[in-house]
Amino acid sequence: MIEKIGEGLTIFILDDEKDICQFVKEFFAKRGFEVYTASSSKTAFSTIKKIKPDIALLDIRLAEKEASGLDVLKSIKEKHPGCCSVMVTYMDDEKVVARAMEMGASDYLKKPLMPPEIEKTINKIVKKIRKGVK
Amino acid sequence: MANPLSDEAQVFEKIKKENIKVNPIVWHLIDHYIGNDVHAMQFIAGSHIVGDDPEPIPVDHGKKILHHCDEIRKFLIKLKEATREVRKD
Repeated sequence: MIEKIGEGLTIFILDDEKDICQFVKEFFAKRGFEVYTASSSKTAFSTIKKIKPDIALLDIRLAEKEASGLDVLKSIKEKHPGCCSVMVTYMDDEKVVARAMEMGASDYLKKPLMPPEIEKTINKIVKKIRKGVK
Repeated sequence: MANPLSDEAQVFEKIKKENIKVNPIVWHLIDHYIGNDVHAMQFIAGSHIVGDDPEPIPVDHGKKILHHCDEIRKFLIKLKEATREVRKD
């Protein structure tokens, strides 16, 4: 039985790989979250503005050249500072991760994403949100 | 992983010794296309197999994995075509 840790919470997922978006969406929906996804920064900006998520899972590297997950993080920090952002990175992205943490990201996950790691990281964030600490 | 090539050690030695580099444009393509497909497959399979309660991968999810394999194959063909040395004779 999967614990519905996300009840009452909204999570936003940004990943340019649509299958990852879909599977991560199902993963969080099973845990009671209200889930929204986007596969480009443009859609991300408009969706975030509309839904004001509690948590955002942002892939740093996107297919587009114009923007990255860091730009979306910047926008979230400016417009919805209460949202906890988790950055999704590749193994060799240490500098970018450091930059994201400086910009106010709550945590990060390294690809390949695996369900137990996602669960552990998100559980930690949900506990903070429930306690009112971000 | 495929069986190692019989001369693999020499090939890697040659790459190291002759400082053979892959053009960053090519690396970027490999990283983007193969990287994304591999990650998608790992997450699809991992969402069933990894964790405390493993289960068989459903057929429709297996089909998605096959789709990503095929995308990698198509990308490699395209890359091979684009990087083929043009013969001058």
